[in-house]
Amino acid sequence: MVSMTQRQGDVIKELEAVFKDRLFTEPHILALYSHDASSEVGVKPMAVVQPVSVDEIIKVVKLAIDHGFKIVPVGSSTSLSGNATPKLENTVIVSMERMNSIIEVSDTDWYARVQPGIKVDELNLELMGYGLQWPVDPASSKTATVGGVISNGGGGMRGAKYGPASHWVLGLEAVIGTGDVIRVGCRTVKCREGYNLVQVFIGSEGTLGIVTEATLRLAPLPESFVGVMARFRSAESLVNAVIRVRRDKLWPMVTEFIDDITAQILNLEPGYYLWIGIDTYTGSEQQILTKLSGDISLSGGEVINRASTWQEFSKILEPRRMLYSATLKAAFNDYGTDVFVAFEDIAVPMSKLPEAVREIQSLGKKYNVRMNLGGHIGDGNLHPAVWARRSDRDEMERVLRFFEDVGKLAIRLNGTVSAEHGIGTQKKGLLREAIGSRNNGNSDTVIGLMRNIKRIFDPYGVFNPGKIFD
Amino acid sequence: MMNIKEIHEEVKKCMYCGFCEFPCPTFNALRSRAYGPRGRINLIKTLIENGFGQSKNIEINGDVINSIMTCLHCASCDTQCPAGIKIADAIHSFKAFILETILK
Repeated sequence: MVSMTQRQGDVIKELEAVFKDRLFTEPHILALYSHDASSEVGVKPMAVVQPVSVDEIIKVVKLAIDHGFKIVPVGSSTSLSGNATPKLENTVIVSMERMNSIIEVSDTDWYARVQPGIKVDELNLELMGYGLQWPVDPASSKTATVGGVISNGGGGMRGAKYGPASHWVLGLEAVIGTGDVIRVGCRTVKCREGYNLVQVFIGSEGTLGIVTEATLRLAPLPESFVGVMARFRSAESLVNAVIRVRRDKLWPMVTEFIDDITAQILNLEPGYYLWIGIDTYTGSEQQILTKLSGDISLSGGEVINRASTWQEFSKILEPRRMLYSATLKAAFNDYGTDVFVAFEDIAVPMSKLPEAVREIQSLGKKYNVRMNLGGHIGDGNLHPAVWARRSDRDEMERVLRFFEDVGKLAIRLNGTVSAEHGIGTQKKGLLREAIGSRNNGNSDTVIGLMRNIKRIFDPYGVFNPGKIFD
Repeated sequence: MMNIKEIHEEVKKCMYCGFCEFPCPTFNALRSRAYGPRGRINLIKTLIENGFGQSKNIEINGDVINSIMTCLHCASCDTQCPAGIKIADAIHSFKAFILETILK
């Protein structure tokens, strides 16, 4: 009989033949790939490989089918929902770090063909030279890879106008669980070629295959830009300003906010802060600024800073960009390194925002948790963050119950339990509840369809097991 | 220079966001997690927690040593870290600790 270790040894030998010095089995290095940026606890994989070609990816998938090991594809492992965390020891991490080229940019057709390991900001720095952008900008854009953002269905600050990744991918090349390479989608925005398999891949969290190339839809960089930073006495009046701007048919590219707790951590004057930035054309800046400022004062806010270029707006937006740092600063101040921090990710229809903000704050009080609130309020996407002392079981329990209830609140307000962070391992239960709420309590049919789709792409169960659903 | 306890207190703060990798010259040259600040401080964290250079005799191979020793101490990572970790100094101090341990 062949022992487990012997079998593992055979696999490593075969992987070594393909990947040579791009195979890692040293336990300390393996530990670096055993979890992502979420709180999900993972296990050490048996190996990490860094492919540089599609051929190598086909080989590792065929080896997985033959030897029965699992594959977790990863980019930068910045997931906040556990979707890049391996849960089984017989896992090989396929890290796309080295497949990071821009293959082609078309400034006439407005698309870019890229390998999945390029980081979002690296791509956008290149595209600036063409006057173009890939307008998907998660807060982690400096480190998040395009492949990761696609697999996670990421969004970000510009989502209020441009929408998430699902709006900005024209075509994909991927290796699926049979070892076949598929190329789906087009290079045109209009593309009606049967079922839309590109969209099936977006947000699939590495459970269907490995994206090896993406054709991304691009947008022109705005010719001109105006924006404001405003302070409000209450969350309610801030939300009303956002709704008023919307009723005025202004369509901001960026609408972001932070609450009074975050403002305090950042040493800002007490209050709730709103940033609205609008892309426009030269000549119309003053008119838009006047309208915007009017909406803010009518809602009880005070404009503190105005910007008439993107560069100026980036400067006044800085405190909002510090939301993540501010949360960590407060958490470490409270509990040192014994701290547990988690970031929620719900979205609700805009009309439900006042209720959502009010109820999240009262849930925070109900469970007596340390929290702050901020997010992409322009598309209803809220990111309450909570922190607790890991060694305090009671506080940890209260934080988890708060999380659960925030998800349930999103469902009750016809929103979603995950706007852009994904389901991973941490929201499987809430996903079922959300689907059930729209299907007379029956989530089995829809989850069953998802499971069947997974079986078609990945008949041997190779890819990222245990994610999205059980 | 930090002592081993101070290094550990710093590296334990890492939330794994990876923001530090963007400006790191060695990460950008090699595109491998172990050759970026996030990788290095997490290797250091595990090594300290496993008792490296302290009570236990921990074997580490070239991959691990190389990744830590190749840090250029440019400290560009420090400007990016949302948790405010003194990444460059922690790595620099641990390099000295590795040399002390090896030369013992």
